[in-house]
Amino acid sequence: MKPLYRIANLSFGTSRWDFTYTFEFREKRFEVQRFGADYDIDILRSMITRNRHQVDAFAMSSLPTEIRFKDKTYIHRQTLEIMSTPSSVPLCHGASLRDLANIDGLARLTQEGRIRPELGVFFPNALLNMECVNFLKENHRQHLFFGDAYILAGIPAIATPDSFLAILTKAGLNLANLFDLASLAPRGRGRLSRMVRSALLSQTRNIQYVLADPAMLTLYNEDLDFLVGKDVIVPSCLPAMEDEIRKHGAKSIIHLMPPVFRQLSPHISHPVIDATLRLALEKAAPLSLEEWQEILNAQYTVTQQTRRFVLGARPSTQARLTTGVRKLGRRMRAEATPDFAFVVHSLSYQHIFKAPGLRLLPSLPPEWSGGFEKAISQLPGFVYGRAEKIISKKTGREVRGIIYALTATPRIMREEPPEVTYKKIEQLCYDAAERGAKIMGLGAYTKVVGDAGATINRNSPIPVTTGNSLSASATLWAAHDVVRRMGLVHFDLRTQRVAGVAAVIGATGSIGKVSAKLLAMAFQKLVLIAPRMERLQELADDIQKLEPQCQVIISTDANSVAKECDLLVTATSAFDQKIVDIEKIKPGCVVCDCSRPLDFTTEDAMKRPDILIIESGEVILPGPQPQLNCDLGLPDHSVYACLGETAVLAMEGLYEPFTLGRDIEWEKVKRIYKLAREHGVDLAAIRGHAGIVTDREIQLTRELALKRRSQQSS
Amino acid sequence: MTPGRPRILVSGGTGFLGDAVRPLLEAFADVTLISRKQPGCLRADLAKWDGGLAPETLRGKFDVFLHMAGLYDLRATKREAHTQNVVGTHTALTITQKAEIPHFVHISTVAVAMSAGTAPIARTDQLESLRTFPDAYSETKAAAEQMVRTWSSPHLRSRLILRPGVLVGDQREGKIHRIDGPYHAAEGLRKLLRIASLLPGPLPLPGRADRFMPIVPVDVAADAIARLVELAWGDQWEGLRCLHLAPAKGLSSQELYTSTLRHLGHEGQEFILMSRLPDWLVKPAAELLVRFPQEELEYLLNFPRYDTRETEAILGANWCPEFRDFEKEFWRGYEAFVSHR
Repeated sequence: MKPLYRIANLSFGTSRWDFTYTFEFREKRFEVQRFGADYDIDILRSMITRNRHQVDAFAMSSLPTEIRFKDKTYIHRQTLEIMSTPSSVPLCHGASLRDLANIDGLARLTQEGRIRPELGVFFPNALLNMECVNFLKENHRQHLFFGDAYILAGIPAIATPDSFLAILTKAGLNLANLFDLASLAPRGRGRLSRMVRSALLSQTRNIQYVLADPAMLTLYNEDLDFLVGKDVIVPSCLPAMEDEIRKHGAKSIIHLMPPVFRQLSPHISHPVIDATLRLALEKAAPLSLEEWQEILNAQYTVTQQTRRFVLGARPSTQARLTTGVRKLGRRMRAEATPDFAFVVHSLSYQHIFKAPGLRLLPSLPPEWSGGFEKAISQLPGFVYGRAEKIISKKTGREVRGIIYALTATPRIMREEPPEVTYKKIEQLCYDAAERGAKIMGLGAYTKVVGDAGATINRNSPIPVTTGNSLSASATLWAAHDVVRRMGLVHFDLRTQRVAGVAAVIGATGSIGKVSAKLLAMAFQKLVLIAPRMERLQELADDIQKLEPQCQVIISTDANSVAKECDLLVTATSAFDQKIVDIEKIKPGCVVCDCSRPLDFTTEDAMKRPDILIIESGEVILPGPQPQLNCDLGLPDHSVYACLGETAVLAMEGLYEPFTLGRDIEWEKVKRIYKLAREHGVDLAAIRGHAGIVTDREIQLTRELALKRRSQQSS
Repeated sequence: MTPGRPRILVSGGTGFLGDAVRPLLEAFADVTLISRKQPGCLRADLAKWDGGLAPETLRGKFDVFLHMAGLYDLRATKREAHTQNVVGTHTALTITQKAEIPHFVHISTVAVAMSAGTAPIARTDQLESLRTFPDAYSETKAAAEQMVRTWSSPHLRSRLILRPGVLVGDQREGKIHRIDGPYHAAEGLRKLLRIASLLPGPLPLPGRADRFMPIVPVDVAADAIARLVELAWGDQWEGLRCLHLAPAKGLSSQELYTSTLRHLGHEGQEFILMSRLPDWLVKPAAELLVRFPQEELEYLLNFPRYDTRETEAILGANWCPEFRDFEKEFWRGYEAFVSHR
């Protein structure tokens, strides 16, 4: 059985020509289903999203692509919008093949005498067939007639290449971008628009040839009778459209499509050929003009005239830009395939200037920053950097990561509906999948938005994780570490436990429960604090069973126990309520604030320099020299613990949505901690309110705490 | 499978019309329903590629595809209507082609031929193309019908397009699932009559004297569909055929309001039709006064007469009753619906 490839031929035009057909090419079978969107961009986009998991390629037809006019290139904004719809399979429009095939067809047919341009050629919409215009202009400038002034501005006058209407057309092209594509078709059905149209079409009486895309032509409906006795030249044409054109009295239909492709199927069109060739040659990117030529050459001799035209054509600015982007893309693809991807965002608008290319931007006046922040947040995410040479201690295998950045700041993400952020991240997921990444991690605020990753995971082609499991364990790991480094409590070597008191506020919540279980493993005494006694009792019994050596106490009042704690973990969602009076906390206590938003403010921290408030622990990835070529705002080689989790999952080959949603599970936290240690992930830095907590800071806090303790006792 | 019985694949067999058609088909055919979730059916979603099926495996297993599925909602967005009506029909035709089903029956609607402005009588070969469509429903149904007309494939022997009129409750009990079409008159008048005594003169009501609503009891439409499906298969029809399933005359606005007023116990109430006023004035006025939805009014004001000669030649002259023949049941069904909501 030959492999079968599915191509969805999505047309911007009418659905009346919908059809399903199959053909074979180079030992492969292709099935094409044509869907018309009835001139609705929204429908076209929904067709892409609905079918992108079910087909191998999209062939986009009847969508005006690149228009080259007077050395400039115009692309309609809606075309761009459609072509940038996220899709894991290629969106093919076959524009360059079309150009080449049309010129070649014209050259061949004029040489053979089948087309005699001196009898006059009418282009109802010349802008869509500029390659033909350019080719015929060389020898038959005075025999070309354009209907573009009507399409663009409703003026029923026929333009020639030299008339002043060409200038109008240029202006019209810029204006056209403002209108929707659907309104740029001759579909007006009112009495006036019909009168105008027939006024235009009556001027074509003495012109023998009409060159247009049949889809555009059939929009003239009953006015199509102007074709009586004319020869219609078509770049490509469905058999049903051909019948329709013949019905209106056209003398003949001349195809520009190379016969070799028409033999595959009479229904075939350039975008479908583009898709077919890409699938047959196993290429994701569009074929270049040279490659098309090569293929056409192999099948059909490109005439000398065509060669001269194509090679002599000056590439437009736009085309050169596109080539540059493609070259860059190729360079990027040549780089090693990443195993995981991770997305971060800019913390404030100043952060954006760290992006390459923006560093030189002058600093903005402060009153502009809001607008700038908003404007720049509209940009899609981009590749920020790469993490490389991460070598697992367990397997010895190297994993690589790619790091994306969103330009939106947390403030903007909070203000915008979550769908906006979802969509941007989903696009990155698709990009990551195309580059070969197998898992996506959500960093910082991107995992807080909306339902914390669940929706993104549903729509993403690769599994998504928030990395919260390792974040939780790294934070407590960090807390434990700081408590030891403070040296105010004694570590009992016999029991391998800290001879001190740890407390968890909000112990019955999901993060609280996990924290309590972790701390029970390391401390001699544990206090659980939450508003509901019966739930606390349940948890205490649970922990006692797991860790019988740890003494568990329960309480509903945080303030009453605060003065005894050496480590205080808060995991509440109390928002503006003060859950514990900072003045009552024991000097030298380490407070680990796991709540988001934070329970303690910077002002709180300043009131008590003798206690240490930490937010989270960062990790360092394994390997002799793990490399990170972008700035995450962390010292040395340390990375966010959530990035760590993503990397650990990649090292383990565990490609699954490990942590999603706001809750974390004890089992997973335990598992990821174990995996992280196995693969050699280490604790790197500890972050507090004012950034990274240094040894000196710990030392200072210790001194202040000792001073205050002696004051209290005296 | 029973020899001599056609095997019919049915989409949309569980809707208002589908419920009425199904038992009639089962009397003479082996029926397989396509449904997204209904148990005991062939699971398929016509919005997906090939309906999510492997149509090649159905090859030679069916004689007729009866495509009734669609979205009937005058307020649907174009995207929703397009997915259900246009893409749905595309997939139905693709399945028909791949499974090599020889006969395709497409249930369209009279709404696709509303060219009242140009021709007083809508022919079956006419499709709306001269005016812009009043709503996404008629636009997408017309696109779907156009697709059926253009679609051809070697194994597809006949394509039958049926355009039922406005479906109302059946002739026995008049049971309905929702308020639409002529039932809006009763809904609106109920409210209007409460304040009728405050208005000077006769009640102004939307409508045109020369327009007739092509209403068809659902059981009559179902019976016609079943008979035509049987004929298309039994007589081995070829090529394309399109039939209007509408009454010869239809229901005039005058008749509708008189009957409604009688039913609501206000027989003597006088009214006049706002027939001289232009549409753009009548529609908002009627929506305000009678709560008649504007999108429904478009049809009430502009329905042409439908050419049913060919249908009558096949099904007999009196195949479709006129409103007066089932007026009592019509109101009984309406009352039953109103009292249960």
